[in-house]
Parts: sequence; structure tokens; C-alpha cells
Amino acid sequence: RESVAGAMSLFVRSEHEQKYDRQTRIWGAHGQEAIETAHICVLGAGPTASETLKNLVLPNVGEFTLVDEKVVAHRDLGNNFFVDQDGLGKPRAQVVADLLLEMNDSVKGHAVQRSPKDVIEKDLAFFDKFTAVIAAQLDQPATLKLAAYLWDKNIPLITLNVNGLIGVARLAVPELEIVETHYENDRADLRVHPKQLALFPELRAYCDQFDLKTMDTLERSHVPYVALLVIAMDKWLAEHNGQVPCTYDDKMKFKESISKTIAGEFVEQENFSEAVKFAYRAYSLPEIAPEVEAVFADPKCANLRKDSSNFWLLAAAVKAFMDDPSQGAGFLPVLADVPDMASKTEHFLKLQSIFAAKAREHRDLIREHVERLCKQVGKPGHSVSDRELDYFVKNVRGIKAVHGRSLADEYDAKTFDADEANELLEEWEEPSEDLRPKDVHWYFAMRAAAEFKIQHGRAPGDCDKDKVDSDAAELIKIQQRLFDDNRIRTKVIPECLAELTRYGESEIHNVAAVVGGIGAQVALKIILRQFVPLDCTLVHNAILGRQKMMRF
Amino acid sequence: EARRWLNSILIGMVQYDNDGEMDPDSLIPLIDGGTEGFRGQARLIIPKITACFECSLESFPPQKMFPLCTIAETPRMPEHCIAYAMMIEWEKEFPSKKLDKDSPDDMQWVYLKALERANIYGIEGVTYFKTMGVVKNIIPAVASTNAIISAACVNEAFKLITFASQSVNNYYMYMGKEGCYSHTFEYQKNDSCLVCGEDSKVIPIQLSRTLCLKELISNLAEDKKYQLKKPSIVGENKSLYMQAPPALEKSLRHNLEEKLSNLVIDGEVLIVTDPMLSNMSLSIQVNFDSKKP
Repeated sequence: RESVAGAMSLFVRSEHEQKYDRQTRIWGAHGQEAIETAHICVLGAGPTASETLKNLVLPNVGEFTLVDEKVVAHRDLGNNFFVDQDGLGKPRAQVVADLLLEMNDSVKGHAVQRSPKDVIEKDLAFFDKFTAVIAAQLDQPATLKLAAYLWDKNIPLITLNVNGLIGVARLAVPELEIVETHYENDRADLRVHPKQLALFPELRAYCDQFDLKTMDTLERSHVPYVALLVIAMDKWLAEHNGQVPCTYDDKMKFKESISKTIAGEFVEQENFSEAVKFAYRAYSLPEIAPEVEAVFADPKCANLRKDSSNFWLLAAAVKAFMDDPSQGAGFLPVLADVPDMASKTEHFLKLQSIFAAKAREHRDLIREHVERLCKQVGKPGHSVSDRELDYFVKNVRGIKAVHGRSLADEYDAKTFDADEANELLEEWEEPSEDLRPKDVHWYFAMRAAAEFKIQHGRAPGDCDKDKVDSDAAELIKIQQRLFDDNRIRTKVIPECLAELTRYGESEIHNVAAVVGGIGAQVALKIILRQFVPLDCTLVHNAILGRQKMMRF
Repeated sequence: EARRWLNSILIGMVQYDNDGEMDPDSLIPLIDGGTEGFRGQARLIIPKITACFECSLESFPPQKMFPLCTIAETPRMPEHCIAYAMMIEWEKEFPSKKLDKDSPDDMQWVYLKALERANIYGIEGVTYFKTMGVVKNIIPAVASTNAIISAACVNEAFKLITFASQSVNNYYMYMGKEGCYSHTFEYQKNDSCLVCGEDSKVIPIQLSRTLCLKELISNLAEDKKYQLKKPSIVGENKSLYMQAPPALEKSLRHNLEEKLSNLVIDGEVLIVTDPMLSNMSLSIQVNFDSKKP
């Protein structure tokens, strides 16, 4: 009875766990914790802002601060779920915050009835405490001023702008280190290549125990493919002067040798099929992803300082491990995780325990490097916890250091990446319709509209009907100037600017909801320090139902 | 399956006038969205004009299943132990009772049994969390992906209703794990699609003389092209098997065990209907192997 009760207490789940179960399966309990300790600032309280915030409140973001000077007007009732009739005339930030908190009362929410422009003008230190800042529908001058400040503080900024059927999302963060990127391709490293196997005597001994010739059919079907590959490679090396197959023909012959020579008539068995499928693991060394190489090659890794973050400390430690011919010898540390493969239970568990032991050995060697490096740069001993070390080493095959792009550089015609823009403009699209604006055209149209607003104090088209055409004509002129200044080699598409003028910066809910979803997802990835965030602009084209990422 | 059914109903509703032209009022667009974690898609189906849901049937990946021999004899992962508890041990212990995935008591039973099995084999990692995941086949979900896809769907509806702008043509895919990657493309209409295809072909199939009717029916269910779950089959001058009404089904049930070669002649065309095809059908011409077994 006691043991049952004890076991029961292990799986009686808290209401909290049940509530966030489906998202915790994506980013783990540690990710959920990061979300619950974050404090996000949102500027503006229109539909884009409130939809973004909704998508952060639902997953249980720790705290938010909503800044908006407006009072709820009738037009808000038509495009914003988070205002209601009762809120008419009341401060919009408060009304939206209250309705949002109804969706999740675990979240702490604050409403600040101030103009975001005003805060940016007078009180930039207001932003120091936030995990990230999201600016919705903020005008260009205020955006650039805020961006410059946050860039210096390394506080991520997400800007979201919606105009009719067009939306633009932009992430500006100077540096972001990510350990768990959740890469999709297979980066398993089973150490069966002869060069790797030479460093892994325990795996060698494990494979040597299998003598295929003395086994019956059933026993043979239980041999994990890792061992089958080693056996096949031993034979090949003996017959080919110690040369690992490298030409296409040799590789094909090697694959055949697995199923024919060794297996004889046992080709049908699952483990032999797996051996053929994964034969490349025996003759190709595992690749290190370019993002990972980039981390090791980064100056921050080579030039450790007392104030270097643990990410760089760990990267340097792993690199030192790899560089040591008696330790990593050019290979990343062994992973304890062995992918499932057809085999008898005990064979598989033994294989797992061998890999687990080697992984621990490598991790301990890396720990020694960490301590040595700490001493070297004057960091206190044990700056890196065991948990952090394990997390980094386990996920080292997917680490990434993001170097973002500042708004300052993008908006300065001298540093704007005209090459990228011109390339995108020349990209062939299917079906090719020359007059159809490409998504990059909309990016420039939005830039032109922002310029128009600076010059005329209102958005193009946000005027009386009889002024719309002249607004469009003016916008076209501004677009041409923008192209000239930024060395953009393309003709202005008048229909594109006329269309944007038609919208008059209206913020319809369905477009705001998409951009709000994107904005929230970008924010989440930053809060989580998992997955790869946007690099760095996304244009949402609701006319054609498509989106495109770009970076200038 | 719900999507297939809805798709076939809407396509079946398309009317033609006396000149063979489609009546535009009978075209009811279907906007279909779905998400899983950071991935999602939103597509627009205009009956008979764009690709329909059935056109893309073959492209859906099969559901991941563990081989029975692994579960029963050589478990290696915690998932194998859970699958064993839920499929084999539950059946043994409660032969007449269906496992209630929403009952904490039932789930705890499965978890403890899985743990027991894992302990016998020395396998680590069976947790209640994992048990829930395997038994309920929980699809991870994120609010923001749902927001993007649902809004993308509404946007298409908005444009169709107001004529405010063009429509998506016709399939939008979103992948948010790495950056905000997306791809919008025209899913091609399949002319030989059973539901919306214009090619009304008779499909010849080669069958063994020893094949019985119920095997033919199970082949039609498993074939990726057709995936017909409840087919009814009619020969040139008699019904072979009808799923409904119950009295008819009962009277024809004995045909299931019959060799097809005893029921129809070589070269006969059979008409197959199925709820997934609505009022469309599949015509197959049966050709028996000439070799005697």
C-alpha cells in the first residue's frame, strides 16, 4: 500500500502542470519556467498589441506592462477583442490589460496611461527592467530612438506595423546565445567510423562480442546495426588495405557487403535494413553544423574575459576538449542519447550504458576545462553549475550565437544592404507575373509610408476621399527617393503604393492577429532561449496569403 | 477523416447547368487550417477549381506505430513499455472495457503497468508525463501558432466575402521553429482524384483467384491512394457488400468470406462507394491471374 501511495504522489499532477501540458511538451519545464519569470513591455494597445499580448498571457508569461495614452473609442470596438462597450471613454491600456488578465489570472499585468512616444522622449530608463520590448504601430522616429537605446543595453526589441493587408515584423537584438535550437535534421553521432572507433575501446569491445557466423537466424536479428556496421567495416578494411570507402562506387559496394556477404540470406531482417540505411555512419565522419563551428570560431570564444557569459565559457571548454588529441581529438563529446534500433533489449541497454559512461567521462573532462578557464580569467570557481554544464554538453550539436542587425544600420542608406534587396527584387517567382509586387516591394512601400507620415503628420490615405489620389502620387515620389538613396535598382510600382494608400494605415483584426501571433512567437523564442529567432524582418502579405523573411 | 468527409460533401454539391457549365452559386469554398507545435498550414479549396483535400491524400505521412514484435518481445524504450501496457495488458485485464484516456484512474493503471514492465527489462524513463503523451497521442500546441493560422484562415474568408482582395493560391505552410519560415504554393489539382477529378477512369486491378472479398476491402482501406474505411461494392448485376442499411449488410455479410472469383467474372467492373467519397465512386475492373495457384 505504502509503495503504491508513494508511486501515486509521483504522478498526481498539479493543475498548473495540466494547464500548460501541451506547450511544456515543446519547450520543457525549464522553458515554461523562463516564460513565467519574464517581464514584457508592449507599446500601444490596438489590435496588434493586444493580440500579441494575448499570445503571451495564455502561455503564462510572468508579467507585462502595457503603455498607451488613448481612451477607448467606438472604432476600437470594431477591431479589438480586448475592449468592450463598458470601456468606452476609459483608458485603453487599462481596459485591454483587465480583459487580458481575465484569460489568465496567474499573470501580473500593469497598464501605464502614457504615450509611448512620450516615454521614449523623456524616460528611456523606463525600459531597463524588461526582458523584451514589443512596439506595435509605433512611428518611425520614436522607433529608431527606442531601438538605439535598447541595442546598447542588449534588450531585444520587436517592432510590429500593420497597414491594411500588409504587416511587417522586425526583431532587433545585438547578441543572443541559444543552447537548445531544436534542430530538425539527424545529428546522431554513433562513433562507428574507424577514426572514432579507435578512440572508443569500450564500443570496440562491445562490437567484438558478436560473432555472426556462430549465431542462428534469431540471434542475428537481435544484433544492433551499430555492431553490424563495425563488423562490415572490419572486413572491408582488411580487404581494401585499410582504406575507408570514399568513392561513390566503393560506398555502394560497402552497402552491398553488409547485406550480402555478412547476412547471406538474412537481408529481410530489420537490423540489417537499418545497417544499410545508416551505412554512411561507418564511412562518413559526422559533420559539425556550421552554426556550431561559428560559435567555436567566434572571437568571444577565443578571447574569454572575466565578464564572459557562461555560454562562451562552456563553448571554450568544449573547444579545448575537442582540440586535445587525447580527449576529443577533433570530435564533439559523446552523447548519452542512443536512437532506438532493432535489437534485443539487453544488447540495446548495454549499448546505451556504454554511451552513457563515455558521455559522463567526456563531460567530466569538459568540467576540468571549465574550471581551468575560470581560473585563467579570474572567474569564481564553480561559476557554471552542473545543471548548466550538462545542458550545454547535451545540446552542443545545436548551439548557436545570433548576431543581430541594428535598425540604425538598416535605416542608414550607407549601410543598408542594397545587394540583398536587389537580389530579392531579381528573384524569379512562379508563376512569374512582372507586375505583381514582390513581398520586398511591400517592405519598401511601408518604409515610404513611414516617411510620408514624418513629412505630413498622418499616414498616406488617412484623409478625406478627395485627397487619396494626391497622397498616392506623393507616396510614389517618396518611394522613388528611397530607392535612389538606397541604391535600389527597380522601377516603382504605382499600383503597390496606391494600394497602401487605399488602406490608410487601417488595422484590421485578421491581419493584426497574424502579426500579433508572429510577434508573440518571436518574443517567446527570445524568452525561452530556445529555437532560432527571426533574422530579422518578416513581411506579411495578406493579399496573397504569404510571408517572406529578409535582412537588410 | 472529418476533413475528407466535409471535402467530399462540398464537392458533391457542385451543380452544372444544361450546358455543362458549373453554377457558381453552388461553389462553396472550404478553408482548412491545422497546427502542430510551431508548424501549421492554411489552405483554400474551391470545389472543382482548385486542388481538393483528397487530391493531397497520398502526401500525408503514415502515423508512427511501433512494431508489435518490439513491443511484445524486445522492448528498448519507455514508449515500448507504455504501448505494451495500453495495448496488450489492458486487453488481458479488462477484455470488455475500453481504455478511457481521460480517466486519471485508467491512466494511472497504464502508467504503473508500464513502469513494472520497464523495471523488469531495466529500461529507464517511464514517467506519467510520457505515458500521457503516448496513450493520448498528445499533439503539442502553442497559442501563437494557432493565432497565426486561424487568422490566416479568417483572412481568406474575409477576402472572399468582401471581395477586398485576391485569394491565396492556394496552400500556405508555416514553420516557426527556425525563424518564421513559410511557403505559399499552388497545390496542383489531381485529375484522377476520386472526389474532384475530371478523368472518370475505370481502374484495372490484377487480383489472385484465391483473394476473398474481405481482403479486397482491407486492401482498399490500406492503399494510400484510396484509404476507403467503409466501402460498399456493387458488381455489374448484383450487390457484393453494402455497409448499410443493417438488414442489407447482414444479408450480404457472408460474401466477405467468399473468393472474389466466385462472385464476379474476369473483366467485370465493380463500383465502390464510401462515405469519404460522398456521391462519387471508384470504378475498378477486376482481372484475375490466369495462373492457377
